[in-house]
Amino acid sequence: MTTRDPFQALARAEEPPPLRVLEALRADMRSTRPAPGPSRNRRLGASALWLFACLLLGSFSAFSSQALWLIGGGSAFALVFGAALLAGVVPGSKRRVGLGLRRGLLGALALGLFGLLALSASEFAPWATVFDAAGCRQALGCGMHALLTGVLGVAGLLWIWRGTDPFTPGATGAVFGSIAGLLGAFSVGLSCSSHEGWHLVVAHGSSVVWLGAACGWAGLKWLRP
Amino acid sequence: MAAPPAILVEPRLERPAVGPLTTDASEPSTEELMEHYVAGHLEAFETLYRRLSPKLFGYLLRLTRRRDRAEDLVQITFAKVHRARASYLLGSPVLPWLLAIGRRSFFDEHRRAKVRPEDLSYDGSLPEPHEESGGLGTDVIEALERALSSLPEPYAEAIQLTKVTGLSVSEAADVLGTTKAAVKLRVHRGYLLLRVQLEAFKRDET
Repeated sequence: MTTRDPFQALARAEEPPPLRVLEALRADMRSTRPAPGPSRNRRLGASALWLFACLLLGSFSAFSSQALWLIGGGSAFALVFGAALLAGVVPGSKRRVGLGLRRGLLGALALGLFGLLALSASEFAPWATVFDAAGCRQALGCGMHALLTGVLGVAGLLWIWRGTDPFTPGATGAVFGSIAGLLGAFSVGLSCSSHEGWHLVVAHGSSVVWLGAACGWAGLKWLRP
Repeated sequence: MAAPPAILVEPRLERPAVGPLTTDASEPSTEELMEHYVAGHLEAFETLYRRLSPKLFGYLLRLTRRRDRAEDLVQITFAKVHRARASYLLGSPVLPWLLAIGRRSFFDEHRRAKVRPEDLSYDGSLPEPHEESGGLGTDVIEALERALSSLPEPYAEAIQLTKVTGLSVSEAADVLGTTKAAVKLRVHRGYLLLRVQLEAFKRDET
């Protein structure tokens, strides 16, 4: 018994557009010079190097106060973690995680970081004492440090992957922003001596949320071909 | 005895209805052609265009439901592809990439058209109103075509990509910018609606 699939018949019935479309394209395509962009792996390598450079730059102030093995080991871990995340979210691979997982990843990164910061805190002092005038200045300094390191990191990522994601550029950009936010939180964590919970969560960790949200929008502008 | 149309049996989604874009093992794959095109070989572009433009045109035709707009969008999409060829990640599937760019072009044009809602046709006259899909045609293919056109856009798009264009569910999810689960759900719901329409057609035929 043979089965008829009308969808296949519809696919076979698809006709090419009229010749004038191709002729117009030929006329438009003045330049046909070679334009091979970097491969996916090269871009991944460049992203990893860039993140590493940003980490070192962001941790510069900690070089005198922290052991080098801590900075080096932490940076290597952050680098591998960031590169593994990137490999799963950027386009061009059949192993790319689906949109649902990428959305889940955004929440997991933010919640994971906040959880880790809360666990590493020695205390949660009353809000008014944490954010008095001096506390606010300190929090602002740490927040700017985390944000600037993150902005530097994500700017590089967006530039390296510009125009490569016509599918879900917003989600990809948001993951880039979250990874860069983690980078910022890590670099400021090395140079800040505070172990107060609210300070850690607000000043160190919030850059993940800001950068994730901002880069969701930036991804739409930069990552779309 | 003739077999029933397969539309009345919901197919498995993971297996595309249409085979790979290469029919002959000696022919270069679409990805290889894209690689040659990016390397500056214009003839590779022409082959790529001949291979992919019917699928893109069919998809855009279903989105726009107007031939002239679909033709314009094919041209716009390939022009964008030409400009963006350096950002194509070598080896990644070309068809979903092309369809995603085409879909975005459609939405961009659609947004612009809302600002100037009266489009003139080539001869300067106002376009004819679209023919509403009323009764089903005499042929099952025509009936399917009409039934697809009458489906809500998300369902029709999901069915078009997975069953007519031949993308996998994950590729269709990429093109539509949604999750695989959402694509499966849209196809399933679309099938339910199609089945109702085509069963009515079958009754009319007998």
